[in-house]
Amino acid sequence: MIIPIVIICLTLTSLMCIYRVIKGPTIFDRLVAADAAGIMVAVIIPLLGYHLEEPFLYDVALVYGLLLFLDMLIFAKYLEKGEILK
Amino acid sequence: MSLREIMGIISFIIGVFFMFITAVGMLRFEDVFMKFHFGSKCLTSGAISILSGVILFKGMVWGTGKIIIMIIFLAITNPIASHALAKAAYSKKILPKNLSRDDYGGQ
Repeated sequence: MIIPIVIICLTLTSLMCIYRVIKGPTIFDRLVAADAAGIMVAVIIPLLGYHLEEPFLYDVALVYGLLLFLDMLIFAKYLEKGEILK
Repeated sequence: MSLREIMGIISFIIGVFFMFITAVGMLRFEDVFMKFHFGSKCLTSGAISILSGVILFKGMVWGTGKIIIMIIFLAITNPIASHALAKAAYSKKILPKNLSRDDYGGQ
């Protein structure tokens, strides 16, 4: 009973971060809000896996978090140095 | 309802509170570096609390190890990503508002 309530609350907070992604003044506001929204979704996925009793969703959450971390590092390097691969 | 589920519900409430604080900080604060502060501290603690709640609900079975690995992974990588973005923002000459002295710049 508590699991769908937690999923709904996390979806609402993720949508509040998506608003900042759309309306941010600089690109770094958008990036940090997108990072926050992505980690909220990465936390939603194990909750959904517990609620639906589907064990493979934990692996999906692990890979999602890994790709999010790589994504943010590539964006940071591109914005700092102007190039990714020398 | 067992004691384990009650502890899980308390952990969920703490985690949702931290996530809500993160979203309000993303909406209300105007400075970029204040948003980095929220994105690295409140978000990590909220994610750790909610995943601990999932562990408490699930019990010690084989799939719990993946969630423990995910907690360790988030606690390491989320501050690293925030640090890299903040360094890139500083290199683009974006400074905090009401800054009186810049110790990192060396002036």
